[in-house]
Amino acid sequence: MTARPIRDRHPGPLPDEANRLMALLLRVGLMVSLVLLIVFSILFVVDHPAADSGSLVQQNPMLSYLSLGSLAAGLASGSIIAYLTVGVFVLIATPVARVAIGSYFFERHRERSVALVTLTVLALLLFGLLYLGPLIR
Amino acid sequence: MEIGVFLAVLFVVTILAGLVGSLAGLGGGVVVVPVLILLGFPFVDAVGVSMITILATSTTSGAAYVHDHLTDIRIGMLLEIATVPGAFVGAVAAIYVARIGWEDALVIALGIVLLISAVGTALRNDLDTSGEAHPDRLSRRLGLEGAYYDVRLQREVRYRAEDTTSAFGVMFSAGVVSALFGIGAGVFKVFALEGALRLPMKVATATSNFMIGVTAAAGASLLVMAGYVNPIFAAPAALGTTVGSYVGSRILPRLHNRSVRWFFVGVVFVLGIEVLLRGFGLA
Repeated sequence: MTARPIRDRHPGPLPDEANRLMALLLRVGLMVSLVLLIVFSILFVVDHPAADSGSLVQQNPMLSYLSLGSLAAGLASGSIIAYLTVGVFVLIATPVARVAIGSYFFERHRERSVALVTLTVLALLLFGLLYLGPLIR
Repeated sequence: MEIGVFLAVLFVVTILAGLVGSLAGLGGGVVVVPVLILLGFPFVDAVGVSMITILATSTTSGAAYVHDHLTDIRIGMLLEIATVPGAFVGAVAAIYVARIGWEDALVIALGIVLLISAVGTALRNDLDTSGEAHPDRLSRRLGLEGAYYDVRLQREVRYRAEDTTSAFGVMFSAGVVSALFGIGAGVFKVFALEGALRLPMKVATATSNFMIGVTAAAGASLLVMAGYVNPIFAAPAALGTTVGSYVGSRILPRLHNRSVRWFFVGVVFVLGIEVLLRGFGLA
C-alpha cells in the first residue's frame, strides 16, 4: 500500500522570523518575570524579617490584587505584593503571547485552519484567566 | 519558621527538585509538589506554586527547542484544544475536592500518579516510528507533517501525524492530571505524541515541552485567579527549579544515561511511597 498524499502543497515550516520572535519572547518574558519575583521577594523578606512562613502559607496576600483596579492602585502605592503579582502574571502571559504570535504567523502563512485552531486555544486560555478563575474564587 | 529561612530552604529544595526532575526526564513538578506537601503546604497551594515552576522551566527549555526546529507547533496547538479544557477540569476538581475536605484523597492519588510516572519512565522505550505513515483525515487536512535534521543520524528525518483522535483523548487526560496534581504530565503527552501520532522521539519530546507550558498557563491562570498561587513562595520555587533543570541539562550528557535515569526514577518512586503514607496518615 502506498502512502496517500497528505496535501497537494504542504505549507512547509513557519518562517525563521516566527521562530526567532517566539524564542525572544520566551526569553524576555521569563527574564522580566524572574527579575520581578526575585527582587520583590527579597524586598519582602527585608521588609518583614519576622514574618512567619506558616501563616503566609495559610493566607495568600495576592488575593487583594487580583482585579485590575486594585493591582494598579497597589503598583502606584509601591506595594511589594502588587509587584510580585505582576511577576506571576508576566510568567503566565509568556506562553499565552507565544500562542498569539503563532496565530498571527499561521494567518500570514495562509494556513487558515491552523490559525483558527490557534485562536481557539487563545480564547480558551483567556476564558480560564478572565472568567473561570474569578468565578470559583 | 522565619520567612527568610523558609524561602532559602525552599530555594535549595527546588534546585534539587529541578535537578532530579530533569535527570529523570520527568520534569520538576513530580518532585516539587510532594516536597511542598511534606513542608506543610495545603495540597492546592502546593499545586499552584508547582504550576509556576513548570511555567518557568518549560519556558527556559522552550526557547532552546524553537531554535532546534524540533517543536511541531501545528501539532502542539491542535492538541492544546484538548489539554487546556483538561487543565480547567483538573484545577477545578482539585479546588472543590480540597474545599469539601477530601485533601487526603488527592494526596493518595498523587502518590499513585508518582508511582505510575516512575514505573512508566523506567519502562519507556523509544518507539520505532520509522516506516510508512497512515495519517488520518484531520492530519491530512491540517498538514500535520514535518521534518528535522537529526545530528546523530546525520540525515533529515520526515514524519506525518497519524491517529489524531486517540491523541485527543490521551491529551485531555494529560491536561486533567497536570492541573489536578501540579505536574507537567510529560509522560502522558509523549505517550500520545509517540504512540498515537507516531512522531519521532525528539519531536515528541520538544512538542510535549511546548504543550506543557501552554497547559501549565491554563492551570496556573485559573489557580491564580482563584487565589491558590502565593507569589512569595512562587519566586524561590521558580528560580530554584529553573537553576536545577539548567544544571541537570548541562551535566546529563556527561553521565551514563540509563543508570542515572534508574537512580532518579528510584527517588521519585520513594517520594511516591512517602506521599502515599502521608495520605493514609501513616507518616
